[in-house]
Amino acid sequence: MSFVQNFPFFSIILSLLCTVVSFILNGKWARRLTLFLLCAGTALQTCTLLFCCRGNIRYTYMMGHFAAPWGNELSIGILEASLALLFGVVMLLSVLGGSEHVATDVALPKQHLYWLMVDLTYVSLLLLCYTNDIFTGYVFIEISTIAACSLLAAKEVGRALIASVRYMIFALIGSGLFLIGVILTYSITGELLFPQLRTAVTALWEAGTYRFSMTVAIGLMTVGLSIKSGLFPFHFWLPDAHGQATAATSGILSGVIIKGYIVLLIKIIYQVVGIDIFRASGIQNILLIFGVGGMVVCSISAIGAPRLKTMVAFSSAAQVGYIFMGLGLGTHSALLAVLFQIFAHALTKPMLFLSSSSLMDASGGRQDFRSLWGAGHRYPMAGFTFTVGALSMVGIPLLAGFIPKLYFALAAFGMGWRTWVVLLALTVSTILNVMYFLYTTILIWLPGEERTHVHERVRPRMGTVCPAMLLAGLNLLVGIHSAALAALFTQGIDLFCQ
Amino acid sequence: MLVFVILFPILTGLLIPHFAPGGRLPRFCLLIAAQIAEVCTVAAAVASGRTYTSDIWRLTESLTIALKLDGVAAVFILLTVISWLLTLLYSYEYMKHEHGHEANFYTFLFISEGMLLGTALSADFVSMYVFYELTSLCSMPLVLYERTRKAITGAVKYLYYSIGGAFFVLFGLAVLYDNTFTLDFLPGGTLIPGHHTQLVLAAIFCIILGFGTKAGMFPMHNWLPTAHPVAPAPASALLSGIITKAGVIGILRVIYFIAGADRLRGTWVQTVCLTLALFTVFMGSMMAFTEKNFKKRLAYSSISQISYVLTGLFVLSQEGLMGSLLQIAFHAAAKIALFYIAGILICLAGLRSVERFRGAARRLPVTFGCFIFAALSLVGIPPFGGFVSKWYIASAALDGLPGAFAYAAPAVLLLSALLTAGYLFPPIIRGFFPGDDLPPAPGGERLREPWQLTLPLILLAAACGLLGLFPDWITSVMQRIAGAVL
Amino acid sequence: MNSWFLLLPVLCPLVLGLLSYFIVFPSENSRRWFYGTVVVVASVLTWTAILRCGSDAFVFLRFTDRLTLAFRMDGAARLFAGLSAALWPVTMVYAWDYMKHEDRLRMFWSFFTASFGVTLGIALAANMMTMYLFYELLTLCTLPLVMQPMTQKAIQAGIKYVIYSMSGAALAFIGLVFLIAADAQDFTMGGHLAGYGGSRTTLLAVFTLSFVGFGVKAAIWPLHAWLPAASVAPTPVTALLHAVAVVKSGAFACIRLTYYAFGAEAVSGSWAQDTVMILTIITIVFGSSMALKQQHFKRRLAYSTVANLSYILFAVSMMTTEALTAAFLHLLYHSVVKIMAFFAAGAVLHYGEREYVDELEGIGKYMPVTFACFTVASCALTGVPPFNGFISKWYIALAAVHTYRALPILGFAALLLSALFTAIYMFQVVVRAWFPSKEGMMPAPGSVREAGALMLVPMILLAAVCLLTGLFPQSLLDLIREAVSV
Repeated sequence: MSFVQNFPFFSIILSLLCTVVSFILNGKWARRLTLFLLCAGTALQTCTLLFCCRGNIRYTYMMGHFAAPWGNELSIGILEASLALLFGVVMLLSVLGGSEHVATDVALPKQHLYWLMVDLTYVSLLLLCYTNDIFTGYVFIEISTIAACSLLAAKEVGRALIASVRYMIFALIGSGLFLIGVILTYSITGELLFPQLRTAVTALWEAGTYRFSMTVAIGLMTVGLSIKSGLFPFHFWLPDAHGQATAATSGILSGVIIKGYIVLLIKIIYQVVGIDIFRASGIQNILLIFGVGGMVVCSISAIGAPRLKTMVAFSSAAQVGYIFMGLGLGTHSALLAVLFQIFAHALTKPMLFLSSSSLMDASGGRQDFRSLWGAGHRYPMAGFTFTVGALSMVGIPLLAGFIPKLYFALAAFGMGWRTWVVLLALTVSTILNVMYFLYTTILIWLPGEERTHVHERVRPRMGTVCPAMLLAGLNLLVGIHSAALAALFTQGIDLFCQ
Repeated sequence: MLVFVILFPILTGLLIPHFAPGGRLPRFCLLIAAQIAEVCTVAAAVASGRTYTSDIWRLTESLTIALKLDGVAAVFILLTVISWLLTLLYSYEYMKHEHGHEANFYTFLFISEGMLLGTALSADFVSMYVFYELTSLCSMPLVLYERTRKAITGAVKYLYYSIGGAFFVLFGLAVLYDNTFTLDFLPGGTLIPGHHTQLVLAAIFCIILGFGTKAGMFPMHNWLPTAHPVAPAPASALLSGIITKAGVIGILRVIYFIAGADRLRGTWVQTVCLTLALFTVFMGSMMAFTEKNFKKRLAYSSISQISYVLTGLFVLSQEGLMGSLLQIAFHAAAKIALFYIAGILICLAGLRSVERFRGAARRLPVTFGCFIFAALSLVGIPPFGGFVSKWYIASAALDGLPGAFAYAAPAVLLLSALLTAGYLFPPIIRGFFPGDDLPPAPGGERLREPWQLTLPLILLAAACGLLGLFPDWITSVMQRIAGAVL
Repeated sequence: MNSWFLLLPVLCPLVLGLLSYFIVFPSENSRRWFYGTVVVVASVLTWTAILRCGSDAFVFLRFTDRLTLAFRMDGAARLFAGLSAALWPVTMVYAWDYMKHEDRLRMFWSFFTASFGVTLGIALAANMMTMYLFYELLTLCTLPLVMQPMTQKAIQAGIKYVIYSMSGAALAFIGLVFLIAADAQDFTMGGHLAGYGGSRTTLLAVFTLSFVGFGVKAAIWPLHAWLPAASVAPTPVTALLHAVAVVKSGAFACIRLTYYAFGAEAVSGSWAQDTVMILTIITIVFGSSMALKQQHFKRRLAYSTVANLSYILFAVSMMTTEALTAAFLHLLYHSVVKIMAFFAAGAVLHYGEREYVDELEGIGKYMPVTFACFTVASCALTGVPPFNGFISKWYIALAAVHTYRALPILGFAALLLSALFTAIYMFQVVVRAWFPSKEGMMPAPGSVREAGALMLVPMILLAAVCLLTGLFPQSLLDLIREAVSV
């Protein structure tokens, strides 16, 4: 066993350590610790990924000395490592970009707690990516919920607090449903680790016993995770939660946290239940319908959103719909598309939130569309990154957002009635995206001297601008060199789905 | 040679009215000289008996512009150039009473002449289409000369109807392109037999409707009554007399030289066209009978008379064709004369409505004298010219048409003749015999009738009379031409 | 070497155009020199490429081994690139005069130049993926041009434009993906899908949706509404982009979709072809009718563009080689004619400050050259020989007749109806300008001036081209025939 294989475990321990230490540090040092953690974590995941790629292997890792079924296991492979790497990078850039806003939005005595919660989020994401144990999965989705709520509530503005409470309620409902599902599964099968669960579930299904209970359990787990990731029609908490938070939090929430739940769901579908049983249970079609519904309804809501960040948040809900639509198709090519969507959205949405905050700063702190008129001229770099993000969301080729659209459409062919549902949903959703994203983009670039009261250009703050630019660059890179990523994912999927 | 015949008037029209030195009279003399030269050239060409041809332009492999002088063309171009000469003389004096850009008038007059000659001399359908469109375009400014709102409306209506008709023709042209051996005009037709027969018949019908727009056939006659009253009298004369015949020659060419009379005889196309033509004959006369404005009455009369020609054409026999050609000549002579009269009445005595003609003969005796000749010819009373042509058409109908048509056609023609008498004779009678209760007209004595106005009129009236008395020469010419076609 | 020929014409104007946004020019003259050089150099590069390029593709980006971004110069590319490269410098000269007194010139010129590069990218695209990319880029690059006046109407027009165009692209995206899935996205004449093994319904449905999607940029009904709205843009934009670059890109994309990707045999004779043809016929009639009702000069021309584009799409939907030749012919001819018509309208707007048709009474006297060119444009657009519009209509007509199916022949009839409407709405302006009525309001003598030389020279040049290509169409026809056989 090579040393590199320990790295995921090291990064988990390191994050837990940082969490504890941050408790006693002050805000400035806690922040530096978080940054250090994220950088280190990124480095560690990169090494793991390279290791897995080169060796084309996927392995399990036992934490502690207790064997299954009592001990805790990780399963590490190309997909898991690349997702963990993505989450780390995006969190790093979001945090870097949003630090200045955090400094202003969060009360000074509480800032170290904020960074503590970020560390906690990171550890839960790592575990969601790597875990091989369903109960651990439950534990850490609870932890991430608490962390997310705290991050949200850190901005002690009335709206943010309301949003955070609403989020907490929905999230706990979700977790509760998930827990019930887990308990049901455990009571039927008696297993907690994924491989064993898989064997047990398959055997039970083929035997024909407990089918109904099995379906209920799977359904509960799916619904629970769907609520937490903001699938239509459970997305009502999302716009305010993501819209009211400070920039870094929004980026983290939209970019990575909801993806973490989706990753867990993917693992459950493929490694616990098995794709065939999942399809046979009919839940897959439901995910497709709700995903499509989300794509359309959330985009329509985005058109009507009165504030910029709320609009961007609704867009997140719509993009989550894409992912569930892909999961609802259930083929390997659809899974490839889903992975691309996770990547593209994780790179784009934090950039959009960072730019939105900057544009708001350039408009006197207001985010209604009237005030944003011409904001791009007042803060060109933010305008530029916002434009790149908007174009990516709409799906212009050469940007990252085009690739998942392409792969979704390719995956749709030959699937009977689903083909046209998916194609039409993609078309309608693109048109709706244009209506609110390009409309906003045009708005910020119009000459606006007469309309708003803010005339001066804002001096660009490097701390906020550079991460956003980096994200834009990554966006372009993914858009152009998607072939390499596609190869990586394909390799990973083959290993993942055995 | 033929190119010269067409090009000369166009160049004359472009250059002389605008660039000739001196005043009105020298310029005018140049114009007259040019026109006389034109007439001589044309007469020489026709008299020589040679069939000139020239290929002017090859646009693409399917579109060529070529000219040919055959019997039918000879009739038209002779008529055209002579009428133009007479009208030119007339308009010198007439236009003195009009207000407008006289130079532009002559420009468009001559250019229209060139285009019209081109239409008549075309050797194939595409060339004819090209010249036909250009004729419509270039003759439109003649109508709106007076620049009143009504004049412009009339001119524009004329243009739109003509262009619409041209597009009907284009439809048929495109269909026929594929279904004929060649689009050149050959006597007896060039249709490929058995090829998409119904579509081809429909196409031919569209072409006839399209050209019929210019010839005033129902239901596309509506522009005539609007355009004629507002145009200056020389323009109306030529419009009714000659330019509408461009439509006639189009129909003639299509029926006899593209489709072939044999191919159309007995088909629904013949039936429908005959019905339309006969209806127009009747309707035109009827409308003329009830119309009070003299020029408008003459316009309706033209509609009716030209449909005599069309009836003769649709009979699809040699006699019918001969009758049509004769009618073209005689109607041109009579109608142009009548429009000259109308012009004189308007500009010298201010009389536009027939009701005010009472006693006018006393003031304009020469005019009214010629009026008698022209009217008699138009009605078709022997020994005037119009009788000859109408006789041949009626007898051709009687011989050549199947069933009910054989009797219906001459009946309609007769009825129309009666109506014609009804709308032409009363004004004359009223002019000569005003009745005792007429108050003395202001300045009621004889008005001066300038020779420039009356000479053309007298010549035409004389032609009506003489050619009616001694028709043999002209009938034999037409017979020969018709025989060459069928 | 080939790769440079293909890459430079696209990148040079695109990159230089976008970067030049940040350059601050010391004077108007220096700006003109800079952009003049860039555009002319790009045109020269394009023409060099057209003449010297081989037919190999140049791949400049790989998504996967099947999915690439590549350029290739085939016959169709030569035609469209040649058209763009010829018209861009002409418009630039016009715009030097027109944009003299406008704001935001930096934005205008940089995006104007960039759009040139993008249009060339569409022309040279070797597969559907590349074309789709440049298609989206074209929307984005032309958006600032549409909104240039930055008035309320301009901004709304821009938003409408972007929503319609992107929606069209979203529909076309379905076609793109289908072709990628079927491995049929490289452009070769005859397409790839003639022997498609999968579901025919899917193929036809995808074809219909993508045709409509690409057709949005070509203003197919019912998704045409952005085009009249976009006429609030400055005239060089409306003329070049919305008469040539954007709309002809849409038509070109439809051509590529039908003949080079799906292949005419794959779709011919199916309900998809009929659906698409019916849509184009509706657009033809609808566009012409709306143009009749429009009183705003530029909007009238915009609706005329809508109708004329569907002439091209109608020919495309007939799916024969003959029809493709006719489509290309009309694509080239209409661009020249329409751009000239818009230039004239722009001159009237700029030098006469008149936007509405009823204000144009008698303006021909003060702007003779402008309106002479406009008259040429009217004749060409209506299809009066000897101008080029007649030739392209003729060939579309022939192609329609040769199919001997009811729907294309109906379309041909619709085309003629539209031509009649064209005559009406174009000649209404011409007659009003040249022959003002006595009762109308002539413009006050100082209020209207003839357009400046920078505007007149392009117009005269284009008018000459109209006439010459009308008189000598054979060489262009042969060129197109050769181009579409490759």
